[in-house]
Amino acid sequence: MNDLKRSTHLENEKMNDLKELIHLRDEIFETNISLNVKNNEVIVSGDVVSISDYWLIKEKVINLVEKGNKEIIITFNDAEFLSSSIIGFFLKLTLKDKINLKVKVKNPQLYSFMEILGLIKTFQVEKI
Amino acid sequence: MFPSKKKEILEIFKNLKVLIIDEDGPFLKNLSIFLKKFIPDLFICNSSTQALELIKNDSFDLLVVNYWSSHINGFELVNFFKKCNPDAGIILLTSEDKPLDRETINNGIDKYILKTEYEETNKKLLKAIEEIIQRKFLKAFLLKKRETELKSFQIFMKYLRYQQEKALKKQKNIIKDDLFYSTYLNKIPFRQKFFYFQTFYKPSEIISGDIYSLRILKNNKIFLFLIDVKEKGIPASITASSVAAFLNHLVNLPRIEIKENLCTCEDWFKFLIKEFLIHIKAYLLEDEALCALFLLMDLKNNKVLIANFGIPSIYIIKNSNLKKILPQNLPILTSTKTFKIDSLELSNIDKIIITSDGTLNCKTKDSKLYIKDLEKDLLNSSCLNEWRNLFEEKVKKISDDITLIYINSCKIDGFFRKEFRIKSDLAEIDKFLSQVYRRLKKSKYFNFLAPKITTILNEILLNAHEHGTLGVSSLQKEKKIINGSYENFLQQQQQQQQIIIKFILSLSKKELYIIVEDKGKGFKKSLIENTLERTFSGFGLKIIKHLCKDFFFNKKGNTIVAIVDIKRK
Repeated sequence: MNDLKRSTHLENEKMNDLKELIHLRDEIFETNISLNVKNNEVIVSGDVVSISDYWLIKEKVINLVEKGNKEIIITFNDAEFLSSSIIGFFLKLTLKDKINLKVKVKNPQLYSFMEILGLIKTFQVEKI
Repeated sequence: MFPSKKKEILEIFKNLKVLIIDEDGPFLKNLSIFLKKFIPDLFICNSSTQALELIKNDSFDLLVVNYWSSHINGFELVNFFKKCNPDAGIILLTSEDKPLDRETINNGIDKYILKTEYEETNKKLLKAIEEIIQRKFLKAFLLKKRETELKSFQIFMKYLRYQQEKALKKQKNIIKDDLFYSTYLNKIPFRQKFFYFQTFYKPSEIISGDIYSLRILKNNKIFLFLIDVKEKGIPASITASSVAAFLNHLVNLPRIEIKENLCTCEDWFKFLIKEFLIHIKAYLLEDEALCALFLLMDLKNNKVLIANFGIPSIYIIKNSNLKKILPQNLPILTSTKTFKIDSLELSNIDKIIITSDGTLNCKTKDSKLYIKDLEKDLLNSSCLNEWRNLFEEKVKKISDDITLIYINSCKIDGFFRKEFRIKSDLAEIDKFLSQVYRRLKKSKYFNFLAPKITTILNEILLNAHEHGTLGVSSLQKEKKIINGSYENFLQQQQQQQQIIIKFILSLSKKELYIIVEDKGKGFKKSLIENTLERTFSGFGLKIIKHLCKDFFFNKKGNTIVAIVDIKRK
């Protein structure tokens, strides 16, 4: 009986949690990522999900290009997915600007995401 | 004369440039007449000073030189010749019966010939040249010949591929798919069943012997056909393309449209097929057979009419039960006169799957025919995307043209609904995405969905803003990305238009429906396929396709329905 009660309680809690998913309230606007630059490497921590996340990464990478770096490493510590804007930007760097771009990923889900999109070879994606 | 009788040696003879130096005029004349038959590019010279001039100004593959010369001996000529033509062959003639000594070998002479009777010397010389060819030139010649042949073959293949790609483009242009990844409605209904259409079309070679079209007709009707020509390659694709072009033309004819208004759905369907049979029988060869399937969905009268001429069975799914509708007619022959049709109630159908035999004949990784797995896979998948994943996991190689039309039903029936309206503006979109992400992150049980849902929304909202509100085409976007002006362009656009975002959560199905509507003009369905093939753009759609359980557009193309699986995997 207690088990049943506990299970019903859990289901109700899950339902309330689900309801909350689609009811947005004002949230404090913050970027979702933190960036760290070491030599020619940009290390990205956090989920890369919004437009401002993309702008931040782009700014750091362009700084490295402007300093004359021809080889740039971008390491994603947590990201599971990347937006098409970031992919488009990386493609431009690689195919148009001829930057030797290397993408290192910690999350295996991001590696398979890049694999499905056929980008492993182009971005020299490496699991770390 | 040539024991090996190799064509290649004769060919080398014909391309050899040979210089012969001898002060014996009659011998030179006789030899020249004899050798010209084999070596057209032959130079003769009876003076060593003239020979030096020739060597200085020209290059040769072979030198035949007499050791005895009045001004300069044969070795000196050879040394000078070697400097100018290091890879050439050298034959030394002499009247003395003198064997090859150390000096001769060191001088890099390939053959030594003792001059005797003219005829005998000629033969010995020809033999010596052949031996030098075999030793010195044959390998390089064969290698070069192979390289040339390979290059010609590559050029030919490139040309063939270009032609086939052009032909496929033409063939795809003949296909009229008014419903590619979309539904026939402009307003996506709530709590009401409707159908949406998806197609998997893959030629085994570059162009296909399969062809199809999906047409939205007036009066709430949808007409589709699938043609599978029982041949392969170019002849099959010519028949398929011409037949499809005719059918698409026929559907658009005013007299057919008038007929559609005047008679019953069934009579119109039969009339269309009869017209088609009259047309095609005039072109079919005696031994040619054409498989074809015609389907008419009458949404108003809740009916489906099917006439199947030899295309594999149609799969109908209702409440997880699969039913096969066998073809009622044999493939179309010149002798075909009558045909039968089937009529089904549309309300009894959740899904209709139509496929050419290419899908069934594919071999699985354990070398079995895929037909054995198809029914199970159709039941275990809820949409085309899921079926394709199962199919691609099992099938190692596609050996025949494949066309699979997946008609799926959808009833957006969620308990929790929420609608947002945001300005079509990058800052607004960014703020909204951030809100969604933070809200999801706070969820106790579903925080794992935060990156996935936000990434999907990011792509959908940017797509709505760029293509819907700003009207940027994929080609314009790609050009601006390449020249680096796209970001500035986007940021400069001030738009007052709104994007409407609806979240509908279905607890029973554990699915989240994200419906996003922009105020744009919509787009042609064929553009989706072109977009997916682009290098710098189209990734948004690829990401949506990968992360969503399923997605489709409304008829106009300004609303997308993305179905997200919210079950933890």
